[in-house]
Amino acid sequence: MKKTFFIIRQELINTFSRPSYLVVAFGIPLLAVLILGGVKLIQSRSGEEGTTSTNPSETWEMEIEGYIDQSGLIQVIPPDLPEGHLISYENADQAQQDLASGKISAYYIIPPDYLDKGEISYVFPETRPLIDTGQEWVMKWTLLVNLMGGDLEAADQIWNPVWNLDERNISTSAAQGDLDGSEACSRPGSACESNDLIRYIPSIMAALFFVSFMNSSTMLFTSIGTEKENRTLEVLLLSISPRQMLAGKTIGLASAGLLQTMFWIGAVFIIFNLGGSTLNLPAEFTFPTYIIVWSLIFFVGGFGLYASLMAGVGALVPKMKDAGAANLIAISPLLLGYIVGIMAPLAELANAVIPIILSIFPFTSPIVMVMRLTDSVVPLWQLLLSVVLLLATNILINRATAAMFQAQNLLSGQPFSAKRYFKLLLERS
Amino acid sequence: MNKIWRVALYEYRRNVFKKSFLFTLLSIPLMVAFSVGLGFVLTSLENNDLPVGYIDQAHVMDKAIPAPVSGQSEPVIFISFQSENEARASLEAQEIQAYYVLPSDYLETRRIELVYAKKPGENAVRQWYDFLQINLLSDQPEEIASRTASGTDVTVRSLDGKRTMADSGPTFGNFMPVFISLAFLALILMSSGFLMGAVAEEKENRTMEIVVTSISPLQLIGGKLLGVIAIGLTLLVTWGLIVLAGVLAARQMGIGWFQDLGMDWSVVLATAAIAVPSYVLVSALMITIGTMVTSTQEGQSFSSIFIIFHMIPLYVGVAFLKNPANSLAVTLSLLPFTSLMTIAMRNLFYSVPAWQVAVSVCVQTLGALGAIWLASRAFRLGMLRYGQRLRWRRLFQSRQLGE
Amino acid sequence: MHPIEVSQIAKSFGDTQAVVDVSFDVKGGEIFGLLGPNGAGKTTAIRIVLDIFQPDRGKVSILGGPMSEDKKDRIGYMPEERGLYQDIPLERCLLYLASLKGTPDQKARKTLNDYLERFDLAEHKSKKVKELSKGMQQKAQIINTLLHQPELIIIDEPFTALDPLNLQLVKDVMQELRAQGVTIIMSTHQMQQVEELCDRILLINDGINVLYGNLDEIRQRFSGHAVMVRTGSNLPELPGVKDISSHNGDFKLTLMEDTTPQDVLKTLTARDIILEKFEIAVPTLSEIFIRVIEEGDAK
Repeated sequence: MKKTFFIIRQELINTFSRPSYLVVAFGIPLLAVLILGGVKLIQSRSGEEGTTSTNPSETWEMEIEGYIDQSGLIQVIPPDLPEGHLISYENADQAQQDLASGKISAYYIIPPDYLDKGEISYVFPETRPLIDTGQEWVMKWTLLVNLMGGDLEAADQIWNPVWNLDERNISTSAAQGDLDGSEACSRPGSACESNDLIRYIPSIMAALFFVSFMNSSTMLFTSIGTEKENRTLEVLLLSISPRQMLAGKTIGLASAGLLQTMFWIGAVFIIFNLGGSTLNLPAEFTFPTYIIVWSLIFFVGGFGLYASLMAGVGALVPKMKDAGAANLIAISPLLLGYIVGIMAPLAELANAVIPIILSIFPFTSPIVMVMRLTDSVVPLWQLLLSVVLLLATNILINRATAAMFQAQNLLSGQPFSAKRYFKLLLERS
Repeated sequence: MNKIWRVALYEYRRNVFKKSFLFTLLSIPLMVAFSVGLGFVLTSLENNDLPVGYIDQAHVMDKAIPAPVSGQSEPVIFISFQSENEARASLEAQEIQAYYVLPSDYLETRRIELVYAKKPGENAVRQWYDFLQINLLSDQPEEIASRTASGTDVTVRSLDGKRTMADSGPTFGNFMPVFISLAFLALILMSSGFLMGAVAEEKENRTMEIVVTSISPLQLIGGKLLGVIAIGLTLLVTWGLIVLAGVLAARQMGIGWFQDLGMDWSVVLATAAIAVPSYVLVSALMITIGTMVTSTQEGQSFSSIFIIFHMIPLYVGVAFLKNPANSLAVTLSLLPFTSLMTIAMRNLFYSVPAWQVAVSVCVQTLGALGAIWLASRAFRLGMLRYGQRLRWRRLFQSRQLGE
Repeated sequence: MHPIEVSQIAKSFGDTQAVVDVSFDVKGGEIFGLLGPNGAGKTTAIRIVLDIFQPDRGKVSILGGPMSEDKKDRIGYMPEERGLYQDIPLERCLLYLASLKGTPDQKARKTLNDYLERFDLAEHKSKKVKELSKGMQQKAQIINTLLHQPELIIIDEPFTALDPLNLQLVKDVMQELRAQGVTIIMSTHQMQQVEELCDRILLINDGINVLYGNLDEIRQRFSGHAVMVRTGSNLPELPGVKDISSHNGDFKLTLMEDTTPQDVLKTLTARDIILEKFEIAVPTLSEIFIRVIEEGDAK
């Protein structure tokens, strides 16, 4: 135990003293937050920020625009538009002059074939972004009124055919008369229809777990691969057993990886808030404790599993820079879990047959089960079965990987082969 | 010059004829295809082609005129029911996805009801409103009804007529500069391995002294840079061909967004003119870092910093979306690293003045030349530091290049 | 003007003075031995000559003047830090490095094939360098140094990892090159090879010249006053002989100051001692090396 602790300590020291880790784990998120914060500060001081008013009728003022009606359609300007804000021009030259002088902010050209083709042009000055389509509704409304022969009410009927839409959900989950399904929005899951963020949480969890596993197990692979290249691994194994070494490295690097993930989540949280949109969660939303507990269990299990697999790759690969394909082989089930973890909740298929199977299959369960947990309620027997299988697989793979740390493998300069890797894994386990 | 080409060719062959290069080559297109595919899947999941029912107590839909269906959508069938019981039964039997109720006082109150078990697809909702609208226009002459129902297509254009944007938003051509910038970002990310390894390889193989007694540091760095640029071009051309194939296929399939590409070649060329020296600048800086660190792996993590800098415009884009001529936008357009993406984003919906493009090209080019000089200097100082890192301060301090 | 002229070079790295004051010339067409204990400054001196490092003071002239880019094609260098590109085939590696020396491809290919045959590496030319044994890589390194037919060769520890057969081969090649007028600077700890090959030597210790000059003259200088004798029987005490010691079956007779070797010869023949060998005892370079370094350290 003591030796394992030494390995953990050494691994943490090595990791935290590596500039590359510090840059990626802390530097990049901090930089992103500082940059965005800086921009917000500059914007608020210079007053250049475009304000988006929540009440357009209070803050919006109609710009004065012009139009050249080549179709002869416009006979009347809708009386509900402020007078003098839509000026008719005979030709483009006059309109351009007034646009250049700032008398009008833009002008429209209604071509002769408008009735047939339905196309009009909206001319902006150079300094205005073409994406700004704030007032085109004015001309659209004017054209509609004129198409309705000046009948404002008829035009309004077409413009706004529905003032009130009453929705009624007759499904069992809304049997209590809960039209918005707000109960579904009190916890994460794709059942919540009104809040996108809550709906996407299962997919986000899947992605987060995937990135964490990839990150941490890659660190373990790098650590072992480097020591193998330096030949220090052989020396190390004269002092401790492969299992002690693996356990120490796994725990140490898992901690470092978890810290990095937490820091990134925190940074994303801050960026989200800085970006102007708060985390738009309803007041009754809670993240159930049991989900957190089970997620931690699956995180530990998943990390232990993939760390072992990657460590095995590290023991067999002669040079780390040649390890690309080898890594891919080891993590391919994780990729499958990731894809299903992302897609299933979006398709509202989190409890379909394939996700259920994958949430129990130990190589994909760390991601898919967590996704299912955050999507809906998972039967206890499935959770227990999944954990037992994950634990058993962890033990077997760990044993198998530890056995790979023999001199004949470490000293062999043989290129990595998937056949040899799986043969050793299955033999030893 | 001959020796530079030799080094470039060696560097190119060393990287391109490896199995891992194929992975690099295909990873971006695969990722893009995955994202696009995901987008299509998500969009299709939002749609539902089951019929929609309606109970028209206001007798607005008596003629049941079908609405024109735009784009790629399949027309949703609207079934009239006489009573709510009938409609409910059909809904529960999953024969329809939802039904609308137009009460008798609809024309006065403009209130309708939507009943469903699962929210109807977005395509169904969209087509319902078109259906309602066309039937509200049933008393109008056909020409008027058709025009009103189809709506008005507004094309925003600049005063000189050179820049346009359709009502539906930017076209593929408008996005080309952004795609080019993103392609260069992806290139930088992919190339970081080659770049960091370019000099690290000499250190790791201990060939440094032999090489340095054969060619000058500048020839070595120049050759390696050329080699990596050639690798980058190989990647770009391949990606470009894949994109072209994708665009042609999309046009064949009749996907609306690809029918009128709206390419403005002057903008595309201006973006490329900034992108090339940007790539050289970043590549040279990465080679410098590769010279200064002790292993390729360590150097590669620094490449993320360059990516972050290049992506600053994406983070702060909202600040100049509304006002693309503001001081922040202009500043970011002229600075190295941020210039490429900023100008590309501004060009989406605004004519970036030619002088800003010209200044940006100059800044990037000067930066690139400076970076090449720095790289050869770093190489000279750091070349025999096996296992030791060269400090940045040392790089700028040392008067004599030999140690 | 000699191919290499080095005058009072000095070089420090931080607080460490690697080279204090080193001067030497290397004449055209000779094999020059650069010797010294570990950390003496040999490698630093070589790197200064090749302009890899700039000296803190002093002057270096190589092939008629300061180092320039075009002169690099005329110099072959095998450094202390051995290295070839590990992940590419041997042939491609060597041809690439030759091309950096400005050698046309066809010529390089022909010369390479000849050397590969001679060094018994022809059947390994398609293998990646990392797949070759240490000895084979050493030979490959030597071939790389010679491939572009340089007129000046600087070679650091050329005999490492070579078996006796290959060692002899390398010595033969070096002697052939000398005969062709190629100038060679060789840095090594293998004194026996220095004695066999080198015309002149420089021994550096603690960054300064300690011994410099023609090898035979140096050996004569350190020869002392002794003779080597081989007889069929043990030797009795002899007049004028200070000490008798055995050396690999021979006897070394250290003479008193006023006794000449001729006196000893006369005494031996007068006593009817059958002589199988009688020669003036010249110290080995190894003995001279140790003696000089120890005397230097004692000072």
